[in-house]
Amino acid sequence: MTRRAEQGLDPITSRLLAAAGTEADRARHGYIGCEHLLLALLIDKDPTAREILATNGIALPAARAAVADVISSGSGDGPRWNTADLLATLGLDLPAIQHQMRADYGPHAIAELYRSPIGRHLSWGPLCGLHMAPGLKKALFRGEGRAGFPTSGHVLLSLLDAGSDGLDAVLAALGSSPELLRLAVKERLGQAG
Amino acid sequence: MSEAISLAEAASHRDPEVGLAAVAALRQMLEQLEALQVKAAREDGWTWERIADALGVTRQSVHRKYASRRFPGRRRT
Repeated sequence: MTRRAEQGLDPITSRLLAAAGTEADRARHGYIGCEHLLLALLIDKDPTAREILATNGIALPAARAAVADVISSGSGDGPRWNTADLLATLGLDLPAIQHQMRADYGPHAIAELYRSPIGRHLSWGPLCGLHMAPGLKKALFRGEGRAGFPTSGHVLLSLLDAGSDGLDAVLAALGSSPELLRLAVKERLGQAG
Repeated sequence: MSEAISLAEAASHRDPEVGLAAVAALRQMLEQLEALQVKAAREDGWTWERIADALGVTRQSVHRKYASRRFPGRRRT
């Protein structure tokens, strides 16, 4: 998870981000993206987004399959394959290396490294776990402040406005589009126009 | 999308996309491991010369990489 995500977030954003991460982990994807946030919206306890998506023919099993297809075909917002699997092709056991680093330097050593002067030049890498795709950041964080979403429907609207090619491909595979869903969300939220 | 290929399948065919992505991931991991070790060494009071020797590089190259930052245990002048 990113440093930004460690900061205080409103409850719905925090919950959805965690669920998106769980979905990415579960599918062994190499990043957390808008594609996974769509799945998180389909399982969230706030039914607003789930109901809008269901009305447009989008349900969890088909959405999970579409996300898996889009990402494994290289059309997602992030890398096609996850880092642990890539390193395994070289005979390296990333979970074992991560475990050893935590044992040697403490459970928060990697996060602390990135906060230290020495670590600031680093790009997000394998020891950190999954990184957040730019489109997802755009969907969840506006400017310097927090998004402060009141319902999952508002998160869905922000997600549709994030300009995610991966999400667009998932929606196309599900027979929908950002434009169709945007209209449906605005109608439901009473924000048409 | 039936054209989706598993990593194991692609790797078994020596797909350069997999090989290059794996090397990129390895390079990123090495950068992180090096920074983690350098940070630990500085916190233990190692000099930059000693760190450079251990890494098998010149003191100048270590400085080029890290000297634009403020290091633990030493202030820039």
